Amino acid sequence: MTTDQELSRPPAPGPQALGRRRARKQDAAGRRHRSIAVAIVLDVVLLVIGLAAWQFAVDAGSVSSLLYGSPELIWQTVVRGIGSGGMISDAITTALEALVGFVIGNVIGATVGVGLWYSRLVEQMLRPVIAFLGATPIAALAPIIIVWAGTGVSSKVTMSAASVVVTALVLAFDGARGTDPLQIRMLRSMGAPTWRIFRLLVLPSSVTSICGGLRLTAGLALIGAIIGEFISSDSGLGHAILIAGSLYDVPTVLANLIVVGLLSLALLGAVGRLERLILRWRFLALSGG
Amino acid sequence: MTSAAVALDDVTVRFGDYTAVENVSFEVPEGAFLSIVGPSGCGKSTLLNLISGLGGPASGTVHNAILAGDRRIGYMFQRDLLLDWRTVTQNVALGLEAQGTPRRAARAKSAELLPTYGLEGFESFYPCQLSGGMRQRAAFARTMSTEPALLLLDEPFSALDYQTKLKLEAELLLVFRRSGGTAVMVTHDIDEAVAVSDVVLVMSGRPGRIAAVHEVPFAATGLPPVEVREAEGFGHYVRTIWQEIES
Repeated sequence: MTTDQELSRPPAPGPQALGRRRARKQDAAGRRHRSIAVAIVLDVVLLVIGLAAWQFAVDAGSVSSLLYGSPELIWQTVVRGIGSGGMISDAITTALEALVGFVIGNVIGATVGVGLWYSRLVEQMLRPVIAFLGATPIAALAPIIIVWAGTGVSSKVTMSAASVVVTALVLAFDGARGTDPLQIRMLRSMGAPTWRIFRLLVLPSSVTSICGGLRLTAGLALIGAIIGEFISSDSGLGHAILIAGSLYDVPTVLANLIVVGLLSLALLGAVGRLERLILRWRFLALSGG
Repeated sequence: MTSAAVALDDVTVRFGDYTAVENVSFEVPEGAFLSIVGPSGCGKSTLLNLISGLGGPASGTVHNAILAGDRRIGYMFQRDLLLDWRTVTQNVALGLEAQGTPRRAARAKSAELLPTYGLEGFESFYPCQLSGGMRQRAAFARTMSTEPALLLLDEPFSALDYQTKLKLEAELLLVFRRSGGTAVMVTHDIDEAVAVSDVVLVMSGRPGRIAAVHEVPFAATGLPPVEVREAEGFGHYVRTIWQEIES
């Protein structure tokens, strides 16, 4: 899309040009897919080599399976856990806690963060509070949160939301504050009152950083939920890990850890899809549409 | 061309100890196109800010009949300021939406305007998919959608290549002339100023003073900017202004 289009004015691209562009796009997409496929194959190969080496070392007796587990034992634990349904229900519990916490934390964080754009005074008042909360390890809050919110699901959701909220807030605020001042001036000169500038410009300008916040906080939400389960719980992956750990059942700990990792990946994947949906215009630019 | 849309009387502006503009007086008649040329740092943009009501003078008076009459002012900057997440149609509609027109009505009006500014076929393109010239067309359409009585232009075409610039001057400024509005343009391009204006104000720098005022006949002929540049006397004006800025 360069000067030749500018000069030859009737801009509706002819069918030929469209076809060429589509072909080029498909070509690029094809290349991208191929490189992703290669990466996945390499990942799998490395994983298999690693697992084989581990199993081999355990079988040869040079590594203690009691201390370090083994792929075979972990696999058996997973099969047993899925068979009895225990691991699945633990995974669902933790996933729901983390998901609800993730949503609540991000909604509160993003709302307050973007809203702080409105008032410089409130922002400056809250600045030290936010810095303090941001510097506080959420794990240290867990005991009190259990006291306040009880030992049920709500305390894990609270933990999860608390781990998310400050990061979400800071990113949303940075996004809002990063709004182009000339664009604000332009809208003002067109007669837009502040709230309309907020709706038309500041809010959509912040969306990119809010999406970044979603990506950053997906893992944090899961960590928060699991720490909550560590402190006091009767279900969830954190609970299973804690119990197994206290029984020196290394394969069960590792098996549950793998499920935690998979959950985290699933959450990140969902966030990625959401981001592509919301920031469609951005990905259009990247694909050179 | 009877009453003055904008009148500055003996205006001086200081930023701390620095005098940006000193003893400047001029009038912009209603319906006229006035350009301000001069070296960088001569206070051109300061004058534009004064006219738009941003900041007041240290002494002297600024009268803006458009602002006083609560009529609309439109701005065009060197940067197009399009919103990345809005398509061309939506960006052009922004001016109306900013004024409170319901979204749907604003976008319908915007879609009607696009052909006038050479944007047909680009309705659903995002800014990142457009050339610099197309972006500036969209910015101009956005500005014009609010039907401003006074247009303030701050080097609107200086980021474009020469050919695109001539084309946009021809098309966009003609559209504006037909609307009968008043315009004040700041530029460092003497050619451009002589080609599109009724009056050219020449500034000298540090502190900014008016060095000369020229009434220029070429824009009123309605010739396209390329041909205007060939017209008799055009070169003479450009050389004269050039020398006034140099001295």
